Amino acid sequence: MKNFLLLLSLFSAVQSFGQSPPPKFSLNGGARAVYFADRLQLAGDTVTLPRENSGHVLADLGVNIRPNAATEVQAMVRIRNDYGGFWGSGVSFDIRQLTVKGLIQNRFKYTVGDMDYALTPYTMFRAAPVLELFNGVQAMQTIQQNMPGYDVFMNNNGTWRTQGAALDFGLLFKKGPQKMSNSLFAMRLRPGFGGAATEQWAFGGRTELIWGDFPLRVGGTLVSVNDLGGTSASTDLYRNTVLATDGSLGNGFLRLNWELGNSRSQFADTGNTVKSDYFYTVGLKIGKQWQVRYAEVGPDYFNPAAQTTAYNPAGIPRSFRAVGNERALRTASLYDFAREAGLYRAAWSTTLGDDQSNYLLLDPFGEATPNRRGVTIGWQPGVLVKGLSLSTRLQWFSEIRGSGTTNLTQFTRAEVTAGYALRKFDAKLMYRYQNAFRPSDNAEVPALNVQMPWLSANLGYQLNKDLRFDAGLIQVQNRGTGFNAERNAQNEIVFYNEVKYDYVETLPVLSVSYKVFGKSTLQAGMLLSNVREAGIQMNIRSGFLAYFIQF
Amino acid sequence: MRYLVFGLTLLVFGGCQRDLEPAGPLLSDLYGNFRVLEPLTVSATQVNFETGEQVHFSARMSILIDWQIEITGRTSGAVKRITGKSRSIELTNSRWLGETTQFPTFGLESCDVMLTFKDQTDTLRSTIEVTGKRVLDAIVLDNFETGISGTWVPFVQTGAEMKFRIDSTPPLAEGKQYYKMGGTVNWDWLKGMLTLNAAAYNSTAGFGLPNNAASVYFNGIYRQRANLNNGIILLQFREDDNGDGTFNQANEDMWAIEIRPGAIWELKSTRYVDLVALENGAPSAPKGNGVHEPHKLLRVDMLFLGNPTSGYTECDMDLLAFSINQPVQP
Repeated sequence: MKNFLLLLSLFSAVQSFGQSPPPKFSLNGGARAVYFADRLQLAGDTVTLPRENSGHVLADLGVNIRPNAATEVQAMVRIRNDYGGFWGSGVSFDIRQLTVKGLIQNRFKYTVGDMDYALTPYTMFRAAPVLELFNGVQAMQTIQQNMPGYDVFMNNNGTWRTQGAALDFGLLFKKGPQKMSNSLFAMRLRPGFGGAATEQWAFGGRTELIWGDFPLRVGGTLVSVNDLGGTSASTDLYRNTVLATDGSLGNGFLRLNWELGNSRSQFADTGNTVKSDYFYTVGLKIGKQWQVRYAEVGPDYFNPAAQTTAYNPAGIPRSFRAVGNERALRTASLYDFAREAGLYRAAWSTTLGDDQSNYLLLDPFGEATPNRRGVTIGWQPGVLVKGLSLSTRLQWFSEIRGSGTTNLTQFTRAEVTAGYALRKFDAKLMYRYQNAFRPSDNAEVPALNVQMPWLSANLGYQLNKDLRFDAGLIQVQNRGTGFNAERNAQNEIVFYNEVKYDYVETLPVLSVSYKVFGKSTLQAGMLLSNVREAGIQMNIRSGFLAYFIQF
Repeated sequence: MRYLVFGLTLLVFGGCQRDLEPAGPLLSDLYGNFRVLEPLTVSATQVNFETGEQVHFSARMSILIDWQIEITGRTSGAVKRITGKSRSIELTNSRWLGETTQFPTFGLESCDVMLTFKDQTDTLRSTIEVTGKRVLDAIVLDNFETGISGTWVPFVQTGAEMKFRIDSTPPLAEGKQYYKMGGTVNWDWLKGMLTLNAAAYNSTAGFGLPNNAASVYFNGIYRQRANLNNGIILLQFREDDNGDGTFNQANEDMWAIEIRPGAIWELKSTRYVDLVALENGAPSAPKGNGVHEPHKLLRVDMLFLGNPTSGYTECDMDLLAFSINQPVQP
């Protein structure tokens, strides 16, 4: 205990207190006004009304109070009015954020209330692999980030918005590692509602040791999700504990990094089914251009904090919810994921659910997708042409445990991303080819063979520093034969549905955006969604006008 | 650093091999075509259950499938069903020891055997001859095959259309006869009763039952006349807690069970340890030591009850028996 000092200057935000005292009271927040005019075309559909208009204006009014140099209170209220509902049922008031944070004895930073928290991709991370399609397509990114992304508190760090408390502190050492940073958390995931449900909490933390005179970093992470006994009549309690360690070594031509861990899940069924498994990943960065990584995630590695995707692929959109003469519920598409916050998850799911494989087969649950092992190779070559950027990624993965057969499915993914900027023009192109294949061991059962090419392209013209024009295109296809797993509450596969993939989704988008001031953007444009599934073509044409303000 | 590269290479190309069973049901079972690979065969054309013989069936299918073997007695109409989900039918999943699924019990007769599969039209058939009836492994209080045992003490209430007698009118349950109880008593719930004292049964205390109440089952086969639902059979089990040879209802345990039979013959088996103390049909505190002690059982009463305002009441019963470790399997 004599060999360390408490690290006082760990948090830059707190440091600023001593330099230039911020005001004791300030206002912050954002506002949004959007309007969509949608038109549906579905051949032979004489029942669905073809036009839907929707829009709203909302204001998130935040108050930041600093009663003293060591305490900060942030509260935010949302007022939303759906167009046409003024002073009526379309008006809603919500508390969007309530957080208290501060310093104890200038040594410990605490946060109580709403907080954003993430650890590593295998322990706690808000994965959104499908949304990688929007990368570079400026108009789609702007809509997604400012509408559903903003509403459900998504950010690029993969954090989950939770309610609870966190405590951060650091230590400095005179010998051995230079410093140690620690973070502890407790999150209330599900209230008990007076015994109507079993209360659920997550506990855990992370410790990281960093050496100063040697390029080594070692971390340890614990995430434990627990139903609290006695909060309801149920005696079958869910528990999931993930313990992992990670680190990196080297800062020269070769840099090694790794993470390995184990999960133990006890499910809330009558028999309290227990499953445990491990994961590990080892990566090597070679120079500035190459990166190689091997990852293995066991078939029974379950972790709600890392395997719950940001969006719900089985969600039903609000826009044109039921279509066709049979009034069939429409499956959410990329068009809907760009617009609707209702298709996103705000809480972790303790079960994987059934396969939803319209877009992904290799990593539908993010990097921590169970039952996968394989290699990723990334290459980002230096290019001689000014304004040109290029990156490639190849992945070869395999199942660890066969799905309904001893043969293992092999996954291949090749991705090329290129960007080019010339004067006021910029262009971005991404092509990803995905393939899953598994030979059949029975002549009566078809082989699994699915191809999923992705394409996204964007051409932008920056007229001046405030005005920009974009034309983008996203196209997703899948074709072939596969099998979607149905799972029970213990994540055990109980059935396989044979799927004949025949799907093409094309989303052209045109937009003009004007930066009115600061981070406030006015955007207008046209978004088209053309979906052809099993020979049936459905088109949705959507004109939109949106004003996103941050203050 | 070269050691790091070597280690990484080792991991990449030598990841742990794990010998794991496929996850979920086999695709070949879900999507393969159903075929009978080996037809239905019976291990013996004749079987004498009385001498401990048994019979089993064999067949083999191309996929995992739900199957059912139904054995029907040509004379008695008795039915035995054996079900399973597998790719093959063999000794371990199709053994028949002469038991009955749907009463009556099998007699000495020829039986038809039919094998069917869920969602498939294929039906495989065979026959088997029963040459000896199954012997029950039970302490049989009465199966009424030779009339009412002389060890019973019967009581019949005064009323109209009173029927407390042996009957052999089909449908039957176990054997060829059963006990019929019926009548109209518009002034009392009790229509009639049978009492069996342990001393009179076999001069053995507690009917020769062990002291582990969890291992003892009381069994009976009951039915109620069609379109009637007002009959209640109340079984009472009186224990001699203090060992004085008599039952004192003030300070000794009397366990009971109420049975409201349905319209078809049904075997009801109750673990002795699950019997409760009843007072006017409602659970109550036991009067004795509160411990289920079958070896101290002094007397069994069978009371036939019915609401006096509900009119005519009629129930039948057969094969009253204790069994050890498992319900009786007639």
